[in-house]
Amino acid sequence: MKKIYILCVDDEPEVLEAVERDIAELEDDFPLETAESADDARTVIDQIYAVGDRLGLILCDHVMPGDTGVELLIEMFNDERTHDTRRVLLTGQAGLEATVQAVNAGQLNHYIAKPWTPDNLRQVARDQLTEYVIQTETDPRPYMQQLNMQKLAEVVYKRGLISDE
Amino acid sequence: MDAFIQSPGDENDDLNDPIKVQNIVQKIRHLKKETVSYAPDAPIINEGESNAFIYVILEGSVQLLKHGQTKASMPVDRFGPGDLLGLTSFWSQQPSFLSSKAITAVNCLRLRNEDVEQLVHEDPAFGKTVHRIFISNLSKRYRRMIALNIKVAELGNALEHEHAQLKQAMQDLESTRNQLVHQEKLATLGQLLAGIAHEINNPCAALNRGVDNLIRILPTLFDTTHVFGKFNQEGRMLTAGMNCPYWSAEEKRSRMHQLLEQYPNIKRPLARRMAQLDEHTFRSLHLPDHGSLADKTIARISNLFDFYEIGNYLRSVQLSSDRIHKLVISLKNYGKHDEATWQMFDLRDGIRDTLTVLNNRLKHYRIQLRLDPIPPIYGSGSELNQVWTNLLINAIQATESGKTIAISTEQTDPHSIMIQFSDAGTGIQPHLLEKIFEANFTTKKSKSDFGLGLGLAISKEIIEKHGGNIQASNRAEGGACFTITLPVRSSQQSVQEHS
Repeated sequence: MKKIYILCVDDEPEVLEAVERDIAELEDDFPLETAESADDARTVIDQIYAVGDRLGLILCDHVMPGDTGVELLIEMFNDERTHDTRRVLLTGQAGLEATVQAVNAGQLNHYIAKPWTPDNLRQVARDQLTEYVIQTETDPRPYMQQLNMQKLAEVVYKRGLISDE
Repeated sequence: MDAFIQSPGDENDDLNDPIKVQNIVQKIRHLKKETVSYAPDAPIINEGESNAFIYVILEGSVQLLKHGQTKASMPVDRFGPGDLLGLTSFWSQQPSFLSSKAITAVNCLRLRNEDVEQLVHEDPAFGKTVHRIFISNLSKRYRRMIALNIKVAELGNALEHEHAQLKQAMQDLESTRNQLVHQEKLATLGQLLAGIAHEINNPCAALNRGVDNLIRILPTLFDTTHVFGKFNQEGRMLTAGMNCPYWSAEEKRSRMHQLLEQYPNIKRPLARRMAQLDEHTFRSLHLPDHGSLADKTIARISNLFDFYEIGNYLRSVQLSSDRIHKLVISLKNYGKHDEATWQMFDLRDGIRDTLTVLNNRLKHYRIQLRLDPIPPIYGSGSELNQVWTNLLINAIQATESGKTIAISTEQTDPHSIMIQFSDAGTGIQPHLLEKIFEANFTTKKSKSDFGLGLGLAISKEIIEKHGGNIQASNRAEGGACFTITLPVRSSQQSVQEHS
C-alpha cells in the first residue's frame, strides 16, 4: 500500500523536534518527514513521490530563510502531485496579507498559531488526514482506527462499501 | 466776454489751481451760478440718479463712493478745492456713475449743465477754456486711477507673497508637529521597552541560573564510580543529549532512513532519536550491525533515550534562556532614550543591538557585516540606534528576500569615521536622492504603522546633531547606499562645540 506522509517545514530545529514528539503516535500509519526550508521540503516531496508514496499533510511555517511557507503552499496547490495534500500554516507571524494570500491562492486548509498544544496539533492532523483519505481513497476502511472513525464510517456507508444486509 | 481769456503764455498754467478755476468761473459774468454749501456727511450727488449740474469745489473735501452691487459703499477717490464734480454725467449724459458726499463742510459753485452747454455753443473761446479745465480735471483723475491700479497690483503681489509664506509656515508647522509626535512615540516606546526588558530580565536570570546548575549537578547523580566524568549508560546518554551535535534536517532524514533499513523492526520515532547520536555514544549502545532487534533491546534503548532527551531539553532550555537574556540586554540598550546619556561609546555595539532587535525581519536576508575597528565617539547611542533601525527597515523594504544587505564601519582619517548601509534593492531615482531626507517624503502607499515618512528626516537630524552628515547614493551594481560620516571627538571637544 502506498504510504501517506506528513511533512513539517520550519527553520527552527526546536519546532521540528516538538512536532516530531507530538505527532509520534500517528507515525505507524502516517510517517513524518521534516524539512528546514522550502527548498529542503521540495527535495523531501520529490523523494516521497519517487518511490510511489504520497504526501497527505503539510504543516508549514511562514517566515523562513529563502522562500516563504505561503509561497511553498501555493506552489504545492498548483503541483499536480501535491494538489490534494492538506495544507496547514503553522506559524506565529504570518501577517494578514500573507494569510489572505495563502487562503486565496493556496487554498489553505487550516491555520495553527504558535504556540500550539500537542492535543490540538494531533486533532488538526487527524482531521486533515481524514479529509485527505476521503478525497483520495476509494476505500478508507484501513484508516478508520487512526483517524476520525465516525466520519470515515459515514463515507464507507454512503459509498456502499458495507451494505446493511 | 474776453475777461476770462488769459494771455497765451498762461495757457499751460495749472488749471487745477482752485483759485484760478474759481477766478475763471467767477469771471463768466452772465453764467447763472450759485454757491451751495454742504454740511459734513451730506450727499452731493447720488449714484444712479440723473445729475443736472457741474460742481466746482471751492472749499472742503469730498469723498467719491461706489455702491456697486454690494450694500456697503466703497470709497473710490477724494476731491478737494479746484476739482470738478459731475463731469462724467455731463459728458456721457447718463445717470451719475458715483456718489459724492461732503467729508468736511464744503462750498461749491453749482453750474447748470444746459447753461454751460449753451455758453460753449455761443462762444467758442469760452468753450476752449472750459474744455481745457475739464480735460485737465479728467486727466488728473486718469493719472490717479493709473497710480491706484499700480498700487493694487503691488498690494496683490505682496498678498500673494505673504500667502505663500503662510502656506510654507503651515507646512513647516505640520512637519514639525509630526516629527514631535513621532519622537514622542519612539521615546514612549523606548521607555516601555526598557521597562519590559527589566521585568523579563529577572525571571530570565533565575531561569539561567537554574538550568546551569541542573546541567552541572544532574550528570553527577549517574556517576556510579565516583570518578569524575565516568558515568554509567544513563549518565552517558544524558550528557550526550546535552551535547547533541547539530544535524541538518537532511542529514537527520538520511540517517533515520539508514537506521530503519539496518533495523527493520524499530519504529520511526525511535529511529529518528537514534539518528541524532554521535558515533561514540552510538557504539556504546552495543547494538548489532543490522537485523531485527529483540523487544528487550528496543525497550532498553527507548528508556536510555529518555535520558538523552532530558539532556536535550536541558540544553535547549539553556540555549533559549540565553537567547532571551541576550535579546533583553539588547532591548535594554536599544531602548535607553535620554538626552542626558551622551557619552563616549563604540557605535558598533549599537549596530549589533539593532541587528538583534530586528533579527526576525532580517532573517530573510544575507547580512554582510564588516565592522572594522573604529574609535569611540561621543553621542547618544539610543538616538543613533534609531538611525540604524530606520536605515535597516528601509533596506528591508527595498530589497527582495534572499539578497544581501551590507553594513560596514571604517575610520577614513584620524578625525572621522564612515558607516555604510547598502542594499540590493531597486535603488533611488536620481532626482529623489536629495528629496528623500525631507520630512513627509515616503514611497509607501499607506500611512499605516510608522510610515509617517519621517524616518530619513529624523535620521538626518540625529546625524547632524552628532556633527556628521548622511548621504544617499545608488550603487553601480544596483541598490541604494547610505553613507554616514561622523567626527571623532573627545567629549571635551564636543561639549565646547555644544556651548
